Amino acid sequence: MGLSRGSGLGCSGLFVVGAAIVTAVYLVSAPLLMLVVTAFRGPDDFLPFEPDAEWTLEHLRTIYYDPVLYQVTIPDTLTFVIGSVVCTFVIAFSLAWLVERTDLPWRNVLFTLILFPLLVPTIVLAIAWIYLFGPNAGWVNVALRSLLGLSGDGPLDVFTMPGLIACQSVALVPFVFLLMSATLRTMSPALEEASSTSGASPWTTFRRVTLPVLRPGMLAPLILTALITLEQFEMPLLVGLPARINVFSTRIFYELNPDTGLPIYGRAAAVALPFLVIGLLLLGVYNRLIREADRYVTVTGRGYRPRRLPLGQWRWPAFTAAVAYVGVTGILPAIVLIWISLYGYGMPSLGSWPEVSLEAYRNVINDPVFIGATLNTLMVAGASAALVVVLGAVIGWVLARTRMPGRAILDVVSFASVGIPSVIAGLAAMLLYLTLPVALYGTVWVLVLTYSYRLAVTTRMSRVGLMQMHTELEEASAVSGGRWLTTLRRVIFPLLAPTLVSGFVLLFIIGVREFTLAMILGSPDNLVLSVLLWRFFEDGSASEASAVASLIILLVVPVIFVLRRLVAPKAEYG
Amino acid sequence: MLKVAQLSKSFATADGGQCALNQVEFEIHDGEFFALLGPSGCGKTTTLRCVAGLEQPDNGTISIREQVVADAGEGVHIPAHEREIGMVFQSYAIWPHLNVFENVAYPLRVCRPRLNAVEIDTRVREVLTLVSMEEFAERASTVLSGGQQQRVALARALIRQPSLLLLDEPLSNLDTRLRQQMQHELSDLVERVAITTLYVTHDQTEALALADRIAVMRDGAIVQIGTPEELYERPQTSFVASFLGRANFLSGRMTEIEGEDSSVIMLDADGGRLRLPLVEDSVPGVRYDVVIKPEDLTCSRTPPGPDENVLVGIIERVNFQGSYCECHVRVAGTTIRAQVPSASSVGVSERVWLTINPERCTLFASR
Amino acid sequence: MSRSTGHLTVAMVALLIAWPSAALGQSDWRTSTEVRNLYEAARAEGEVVIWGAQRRELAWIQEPFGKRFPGIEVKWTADRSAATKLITEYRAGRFAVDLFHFSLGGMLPVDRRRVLGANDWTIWGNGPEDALLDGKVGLTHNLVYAVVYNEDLVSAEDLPTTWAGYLEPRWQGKLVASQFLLPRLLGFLALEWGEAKAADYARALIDKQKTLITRAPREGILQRGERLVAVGEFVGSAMYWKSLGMPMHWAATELMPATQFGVATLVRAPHPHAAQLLAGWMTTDEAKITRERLMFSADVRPGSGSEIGALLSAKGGRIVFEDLGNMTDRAALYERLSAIVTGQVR
Repeated sequence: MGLSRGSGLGCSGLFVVGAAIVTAVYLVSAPLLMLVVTAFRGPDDFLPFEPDAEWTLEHLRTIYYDPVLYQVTIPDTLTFVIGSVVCTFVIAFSLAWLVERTDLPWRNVLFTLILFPLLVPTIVLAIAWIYLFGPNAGWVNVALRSLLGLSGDGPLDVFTMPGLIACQSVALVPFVFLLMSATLRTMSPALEEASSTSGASPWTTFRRVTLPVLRPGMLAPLILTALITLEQFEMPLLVGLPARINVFSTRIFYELNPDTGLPIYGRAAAVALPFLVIGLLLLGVYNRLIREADRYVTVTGRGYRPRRLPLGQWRWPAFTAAVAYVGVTGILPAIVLIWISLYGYGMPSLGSWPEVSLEAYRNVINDPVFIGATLNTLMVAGASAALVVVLGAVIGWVLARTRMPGRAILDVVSFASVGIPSVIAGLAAMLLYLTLPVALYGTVWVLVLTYSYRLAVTTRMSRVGLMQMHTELEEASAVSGGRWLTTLRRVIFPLLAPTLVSGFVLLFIIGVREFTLAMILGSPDNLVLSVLLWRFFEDGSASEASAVASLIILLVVPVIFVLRRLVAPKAEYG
Repeated sequence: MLKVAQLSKSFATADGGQCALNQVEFEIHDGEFFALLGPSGCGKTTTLRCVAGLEQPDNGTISIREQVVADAGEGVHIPAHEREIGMVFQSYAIWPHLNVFENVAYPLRVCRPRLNAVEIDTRVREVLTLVSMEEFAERASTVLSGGQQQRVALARALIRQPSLLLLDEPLSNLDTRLRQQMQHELSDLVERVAITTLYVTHDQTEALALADRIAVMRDGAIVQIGTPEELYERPQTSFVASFLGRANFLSGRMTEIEGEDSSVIMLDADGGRLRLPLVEDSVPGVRYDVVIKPEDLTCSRTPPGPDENVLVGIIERVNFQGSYCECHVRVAGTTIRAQVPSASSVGVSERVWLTINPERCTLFASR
Repeated sequence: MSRSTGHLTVAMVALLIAWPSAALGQSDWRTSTEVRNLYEAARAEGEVVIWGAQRRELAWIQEPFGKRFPGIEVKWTADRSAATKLITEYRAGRFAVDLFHFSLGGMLPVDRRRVLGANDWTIWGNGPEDALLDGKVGLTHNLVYAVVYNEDLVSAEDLPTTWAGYLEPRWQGKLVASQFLLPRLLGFLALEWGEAKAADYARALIDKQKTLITRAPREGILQRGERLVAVGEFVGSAMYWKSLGMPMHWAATELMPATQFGVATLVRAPHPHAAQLLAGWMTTDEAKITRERLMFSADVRPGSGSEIGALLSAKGGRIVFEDLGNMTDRAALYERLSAIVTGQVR
């Protein structure tokens, strides 16, 4: 099989690797194929597999001959994505830099608080920010108006392109922050110290050494961010639509929620095709960058001391800025949520205090579906995270350690999953599992399998982790008599454990927040908390919806702390 | 040239423990090659980093060429990039995004006043020739071997012609043969350039070979400073004695003082009787450690005449070292290392007599 | 006896015979043998599965239905994409659904795939006008488009009585509309006014009046005071929100479109008798009045006896009902007007 030296797989090993590859390819390519096929099947709203359906180009024509696409959708999307990615990047990098490489006070607490927006489904964040920054009745605007003596509406209007970009960036910052802090931490401080001892001032060091060395490791998350932003639709829908902004993702949403009749899935798929193409293009760039970044990874030697830049007079201003950021993006939404859950929609004031009650929480907890939904959420998020981590580790190993023919395809397949919007993945899963003779549809298992198509992140993380791990460690196991599976179990997994567990926690959080897939594949048997939350909202029970959101946070906060402990560097050196 | 006074700092060791530099004090003269020697975690790297300006001491002062660069009491701390130093790191810290030429040229590019391109080019090529890397100027730095990286790091450190060259265990990552070769080259280079050097290492052979003077450190404090010969011949503590060379430690009790010039010690090992020249503070009845180096023991197959200063034992193991063999001799109660010429071809299980040269013993009170 | 008297007598006798039957016809489903037999068969089946668009349309059913016909569990699923799921399941040979409860527009694509089954509505006291699509869909209720406002912030007298009235400058920045509902309202208005005028109205409403177009729940936006009036919101929604304690009220306009909702059994239903039972029951006055009382959505067709219907007529506005005849036209209109609403067409 052309494997690298010292990695004799043996029968059981081949079986495991083979099974993992088949599973991964299946999990990712079934949605991919569905997407491509659906775009070419019609006419109108005929589903791809219906007896009267046929191959057609009409969906592509409808979408791509429509001037609206070129006059409105593409420009809006470009502005939105570029603006959001730049904002996300600048904020995430600054925060990661401050937390990982300077002596910012209260770093550990800030790290946890920065991750806060990760806990909450995007839809909840969107609603919270509308509450805070709505031009007429937003809390912040009301406060600002009374402070500054203004009248009318504003001064801040979230329903604008800048408003949308701000909301979207802030929602994605925690994820990118995590990726960047990991990169910043692996940079050897000796490179900067060498610059200092060569006579360069701190700013010159930053400019000439830090940034260039970090560049490949930063650009990869940038690309990932761009792809994820393209796929986002909750913010563009709730904040962008009132601002008359139309992007690709909302276009797909409108196609899937038409004014009348059945959704024309073919059109939705046709709109989604560019995602795939762009995703694959970016994958190529990403791979080039990664190869460069890996060359730059310096294995830290003995005497590793993470060096922190003393901020001096900037210490407290930076701290204030970080706290302000965390306050607005993490704490304020939480306050909004809690307030709504206790009181309802109205503005907080002294007079409303007596009406505050825990009734919403009682309603939620006593609702017969609540316990089931909670258990389902934990099960689905946990199982899919575990599956993706294990698959990612095995695939990462195959990519990092072997010269198996077809590796490139595996690489593309695992990364291509990032290019599939979740609406399409959900539709594909629905069609697939209804067609398959196995009785999976409508169960929690179909959710587990569908959530698990996001292999890109864990494969990448495992691959990086393995590259930093010397092959000799595995070879030592082989010469001690361990078969490949044994080596995997006793050497690779334990050594890779921090990477794997971080990946697990991240995916678990994403699984708890997942909303689109759960909606599309939802049935009474696989209700999860995010869907329950949305249902309460649609029913007008905002307090109950907020109560569910608060309970989701309570569920996930301990997990965040675990993530922090795992991902934090070892004891700081004096 | 470099004065370090009352240097104190607490720091964390690699295994998570806490250590403290305790009133470290030494002085290096112009052009001297000075080594800080000691086991890992004893604070030598921290001392070096304080001198470099990468760490701030809790206490004490550091001055380079009479200029105070660090004074914890007065709150003076001149940052690293303003000190006239060149430093080679243990990991070499070669920048992956710059090629060899640019790596070496960097200090000239960031200094003020700016030099013009021609000057930079000349000086870079000069210093690269000095380290025998002139053909590699255009190479990418990510493809260099360990030895080559080390030379580039050295070139980079020297190009500014700094007052002080700092080296943090630069040879520890190299294989033995390369290490020896680099030791020679380093030594030659430093002499040729005549630069004051502060060198940190845990390898005593290296320190002995390269340094003009050595400071032995342990647990954050300097134990002894001296030339290699002084440290090797006249260690002041058993630690220093054990750290330099492969000494034997024999415990015993001083039984008597004879006259004005000798004392007698009853060794635990083999009950041997040892007559030594009298040293200061010798007290009968007190237990002492006697340190004797393997090369100062004479090994014979037949009993030597006198029965003083002789131990008898069985050879347990013979290590062939090329020109000599090191024998491990089992003497009642302990094992003693002795050296014999390879030609004498002693074998395992042979009974040998070890004669101790009393002039070559060092005496320490047992703790 | 004169001829006219003779005619009169016949007429009176006929009336005497017919009237009680008519009256009994309404109430006799409670005692009719067909229904009773159906119930027995349904009880043996034990449960019925009904799919609809919204929780609000389904959750209320179990209790009153269970009181009338105990022993049958109502399993409901609310999902906007129920139609797709239904079609997909049928295609896959999975028949797990008994009833489909949707708007007329939602029924059409499902009907096109021939999955709607037949039901005898007459045994429940319905006439031929109470069913559509060849008698497959029994009509249950309407949702009426009007205007909903925050009564703490706006008083009823200030509100215009026409749609055009909301284009007055004083309403600038005070309006909100649903991205989902507004195009539907506009479709109805286009049929009345012509497409060009409806499109102008849409543009004026959105660009000039800065109406907030959103998919977020409008009651929140109104209650907070972010906007004051929701244009193109259901009358029943206002009543429902008010019942939850929010300060919402509705206001009539000169022309109030009403969408039609119905229920249909499905072919190959797993519990056919229970399906027919529940579907039929949902078309009875008893069910309709219960729905009206609990969920504020009523059958407002003339002669339905609904309180809400009476209320609406009293306001003087004209209620425009949707019918199958103009469905296709309206669908095309929706699409074009929707593009204006989302901002894709400026």
